Amino acid sequence: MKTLTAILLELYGLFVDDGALAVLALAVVALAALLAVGLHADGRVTGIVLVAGSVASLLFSVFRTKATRKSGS
Amino acid sequence: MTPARTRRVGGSTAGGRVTKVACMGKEAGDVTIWATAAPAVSASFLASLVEMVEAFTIVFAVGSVRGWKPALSGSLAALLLLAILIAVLGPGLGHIPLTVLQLVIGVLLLLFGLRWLRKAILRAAGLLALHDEASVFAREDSRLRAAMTRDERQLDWIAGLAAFKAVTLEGIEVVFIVIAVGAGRGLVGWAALGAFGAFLLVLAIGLAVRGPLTRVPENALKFIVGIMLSAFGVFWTGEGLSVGWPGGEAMIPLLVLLFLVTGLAAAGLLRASERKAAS
Repeated sequence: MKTLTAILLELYGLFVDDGALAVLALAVVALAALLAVGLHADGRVTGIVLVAGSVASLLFSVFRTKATRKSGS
Repeated sequence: MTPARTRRVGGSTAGGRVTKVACMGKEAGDVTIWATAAPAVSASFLASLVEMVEAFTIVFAVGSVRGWKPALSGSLAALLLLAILIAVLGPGLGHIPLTVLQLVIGVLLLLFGLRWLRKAILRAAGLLALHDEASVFAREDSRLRAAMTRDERQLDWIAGLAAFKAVTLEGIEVVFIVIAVGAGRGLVGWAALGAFGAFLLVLAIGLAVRGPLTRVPENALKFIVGIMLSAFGVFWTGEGLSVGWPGGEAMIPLLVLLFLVTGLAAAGLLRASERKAAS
């Protein structure tokens, strides 16, 4: 049972380490999906949102970690 | 190119010209296949390399403390479980509509890739400690030695379970990487080839070194893999949403470049800020 729990936790941890990064990345995908499917926006707009949003999520996450560590130390 | 083909290409008859065109077409096809498969093979190879080094460290610790019987039986049981998992889940992939598969795999790859890239950036900037195979080995070694007070049969069970857990956990990651990198364009076989190459390399180096593989530049590998998987993730998510990337798959190297520049710039800025704070 402990091994199974460890495997399930590891599976979750495979995709989620910093919760904020995961939430942001999913929000970017949801926005892109809304643009593409809901609003039938131009593919280029959806592409730009996807690319810029992913990069911004990453940068937000690393600089947020840095700021958190600084205030914690 | 085979010698026979070289001779025929060099011929001057009409038949020779036809053969030459056919050979050029085949070579162009080979180049196209490689251009498409190379990113999948290399991403799968590098990502699997990292996972297999981690699994090898634990299995080696188990083998050196309790002997190779529990280490190998635990590993083999895990490989069997993984094979069953692939046999059960693999055929199901063919029944999922391609755009849905691309979207789901794209999102998972994006989460997976960004997670690795974030960690690699923080490690490169000195904000997180580097992954140390020697300390992982020492930790597993002392955990098993601490359990030495129990009876023999229980010890073998604990040791075998440790190897089983390590190979299962890291193996699941490898299976996911192979499917995620390859399934979007029917390149699972190529991605599996990359993973198998990584397995052979780790096994060969492990047998030669006979110790934990401490000199693998794990953070650099994770940095590269994080970049590649993030790029694949954005690309497949876009494909799943019918973005219609300019240049099609030629967009993947551009996305790789973008994440590389972002990662290097972020690590550089964080390092500079750390140095400034320290001085």
